[in-house]
Amino acid sequence: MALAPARTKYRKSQKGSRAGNAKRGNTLAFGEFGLQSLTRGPMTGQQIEAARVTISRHLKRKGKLWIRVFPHKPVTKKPAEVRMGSGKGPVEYYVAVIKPGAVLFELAGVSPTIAKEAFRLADAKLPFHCRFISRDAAVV
Amino acid sequence: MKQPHKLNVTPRAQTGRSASRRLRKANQVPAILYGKHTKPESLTIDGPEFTRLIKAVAGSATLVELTRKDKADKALSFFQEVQRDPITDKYLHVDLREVKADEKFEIRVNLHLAGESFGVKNQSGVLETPTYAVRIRCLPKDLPPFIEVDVTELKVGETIHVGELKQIPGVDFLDDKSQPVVSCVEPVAEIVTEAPVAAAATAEGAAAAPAAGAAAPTADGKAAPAADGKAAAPAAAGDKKAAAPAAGDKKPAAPAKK
Repeated sequence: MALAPARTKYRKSQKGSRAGNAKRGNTLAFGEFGLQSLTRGPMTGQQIEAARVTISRHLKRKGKLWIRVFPHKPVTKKPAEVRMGSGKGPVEYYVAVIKPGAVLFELAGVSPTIAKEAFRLADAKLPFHCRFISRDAAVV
Repeated sequence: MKQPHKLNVTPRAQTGRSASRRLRKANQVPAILYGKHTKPESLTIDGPEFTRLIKAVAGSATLVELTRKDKADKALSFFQEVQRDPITDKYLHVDLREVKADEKFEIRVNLHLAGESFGVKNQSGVLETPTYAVRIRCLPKDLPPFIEVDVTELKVGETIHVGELKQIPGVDFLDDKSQPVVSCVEPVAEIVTEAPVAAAATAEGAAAAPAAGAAAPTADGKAAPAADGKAAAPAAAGDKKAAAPAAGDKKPAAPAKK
């Protein structure tokens, strides 16, 4: 089941800007390991769910997973064979706007090898170039 | 006390964004040294030398002896903050805090988990680490590089708190004693995401009651056009703008059938 907001203040939104890098949510906050995006773009609720399922299956009920992004932004689409005009189409799906540096998922309670492989498999489901990050490199 | 690492620094006259950028371009790292008894001092550190030092200390609390070109005396300090570019991982700025050898100071020290938990090994539990570092107060000579936490006896449902950490001579733990450090819990199959999805499903049932409410998506993430239309109906009474696009959606469908 794809992620979507329970209710939104406004039904449809404008496209907005995707410029710049992630200023928040660009460091590990909860887990030991993370999957960090290196490129930008929209990430649909379905893609988040697909990656989550992949990670969960690889972990086999071990470890703990945090999802750091949520698809707040509605994306509209006109139905097929409909002429232009007559207003904006209905909401088709929801996306999270991802900028370079954003941490998408975090993991804890598993070995680095398992975490790396889980994120590699999840990365294959995502439309971004991602990299594996860990807390080890951080300095107190 | 372990011998402090040595680092060469040079005083820096220019401050600000432009000067710092020029420094970084020249493979230098801008830094600042401050302390309880000294005036803040802008410094420059050689980039490769700093990277080597950071890799050597990796994750452990350590003291650094600064050798300044303009001053004969050496400054004992520790890394208060190291700023890095989140994407390129280049070091942007370093905060060094000066300490005195005979004065206690506060520092955050990382926790290292030792051994495999009984709960993980035999009860298929999951080790949760809510705290990765603790605040301590000690003399520079007593500074431990990390705090070791033995988790071998930890069973499912048990938690180690800050108050239960092994006492180190000369070191005071400043965090709340009831703060959990590491716990062994039963594995959870589904985490985090289930709540919002369930909420979305209920919202769909309510058919977006508020006039400006969102068109709730169906289970597969696609907006149901029928639900969209229904949602627009109550909106028509209060909000014409909200109703207009929904009505417009249906109109163009008719010529398409011809």
